[in-house]
Amino acid sequence: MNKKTALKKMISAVVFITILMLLIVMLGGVVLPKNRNYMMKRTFEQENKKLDILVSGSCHSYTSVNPIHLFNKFGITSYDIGQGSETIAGSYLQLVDYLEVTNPKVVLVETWGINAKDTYIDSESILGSLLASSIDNNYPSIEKASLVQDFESLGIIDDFFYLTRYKGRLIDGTITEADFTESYEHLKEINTYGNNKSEEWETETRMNNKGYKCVWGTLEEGTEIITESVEDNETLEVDAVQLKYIDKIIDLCKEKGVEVIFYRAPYQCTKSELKRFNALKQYLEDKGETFIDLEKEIDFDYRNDFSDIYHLNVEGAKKSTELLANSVKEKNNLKDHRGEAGYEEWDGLELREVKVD
Amino acid sequence: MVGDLSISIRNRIKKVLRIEEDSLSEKIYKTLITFHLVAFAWIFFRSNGILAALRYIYHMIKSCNAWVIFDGTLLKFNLASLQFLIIGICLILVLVVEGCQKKGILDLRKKILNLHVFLRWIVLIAIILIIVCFGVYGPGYNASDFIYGGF
Repeated sequence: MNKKTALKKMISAVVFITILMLLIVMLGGVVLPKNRNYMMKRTFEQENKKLDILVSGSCHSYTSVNPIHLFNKFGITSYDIGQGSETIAGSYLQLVDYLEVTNPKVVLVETWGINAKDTYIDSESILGSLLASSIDNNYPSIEKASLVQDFESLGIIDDFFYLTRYKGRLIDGTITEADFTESYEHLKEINTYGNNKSEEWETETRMNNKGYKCVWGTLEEGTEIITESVEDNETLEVDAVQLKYIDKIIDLCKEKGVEVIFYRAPYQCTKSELKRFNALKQYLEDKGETFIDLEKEIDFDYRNDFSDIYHLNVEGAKKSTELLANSVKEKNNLKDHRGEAGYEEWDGLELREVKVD
Repeated sequence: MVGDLSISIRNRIKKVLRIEEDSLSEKIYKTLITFHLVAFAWIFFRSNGILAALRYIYHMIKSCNAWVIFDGTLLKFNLASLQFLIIGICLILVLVVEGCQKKGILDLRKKILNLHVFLRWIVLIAIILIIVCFGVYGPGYNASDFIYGGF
């Protein structure tokens, strides 16, 4: 075989594999469930928000920062892009995608994920099915492939292309018109959520409140509150993989010219969790980065500021939002956009309480 | 073992049905017998113990009702109707292609390779995508479970 033929064959092979991969990715897009995380991301991309702050992290992120209150009180625009049980690695991948479509001045990263191996949700789920579904909506990239390699629970075939994970939908009759639309309004019209009322409610509340999950209730009567405390110098080693992604977030934000601030939202922690947060604080401060432990800065009242022992309600979120705003607005020269031209959609925005029948 | 024990009965049936040696009907007959013997053996592989397998066989005979094949009962075992259709089409395809290749009527590989490059790519990509979409693999599937069953 001469050189010319060999080169021709090589080019043919590359073109063939590329076409095949593209088709696999496209088919993957069809079978990917059009759930809350999917719709939030696609809607965000379509609307291309002008934002000052992007808030990333787990459920603790989108219950601790209220973008409506942040604008109404400070004139700062923000959006909660967090996903339930999202680890630091998941947040990194989200930021890779989101920072392609928006250019905020500040990124707030909520850090519950550093305790992924030892917290109130079992680690097998957090680092298995929950991690896998949290990266479903991230576009195929080298970063995504590398993340999949970093977790034993993930596989390149199942979790990178996701067609293999959801291919069953092609034959079980669950592919509907919703799988071919990008419009949230249209999805609602064709009743995508069926009888899954909690999913519908959470999607509605977050889509209507700039990603914020608006919960008004307080702790159920009789709920036992156990607040642990540790000294600032008491530490426990943080999972190396999550630390690696803390570093990656720092590097990504530097590359994009965005200020990154890490924070801990309050919830009923064990001593071990608190020690790891201390270790993370030290680690970040040694690198010259900022870490804010909201529970050390604010005297939360668990009875009135929490909807359950792990999540802040509207009152609690008001406190944490204000503290975070005060911490970042001057240092980052965040302007007050209230009444400014181009921000009309924000002016007069009120927190929308959503009810699902 | 069951095969050895049943050889005289099988030969007798062959005689009664006047199935000739080395004929197509003999091939079909042998295939059907082998398939059912293997399927019977699978009862023991897949069951949780010998007793469960024997109980299963007892109920197979006692509650024999061919209507369950058509009344949708099978769809209750995590099998969609489309899945049945795909299995059916694939089985027919395997049988036809294998038969043609045995008879030397069709050399599928050669046929595909001789196609125009665009047509060849379409065929190859379609085959790969069908395997990727409808193949049995992925999360929750372990190949050894199928091979060894409950052995």
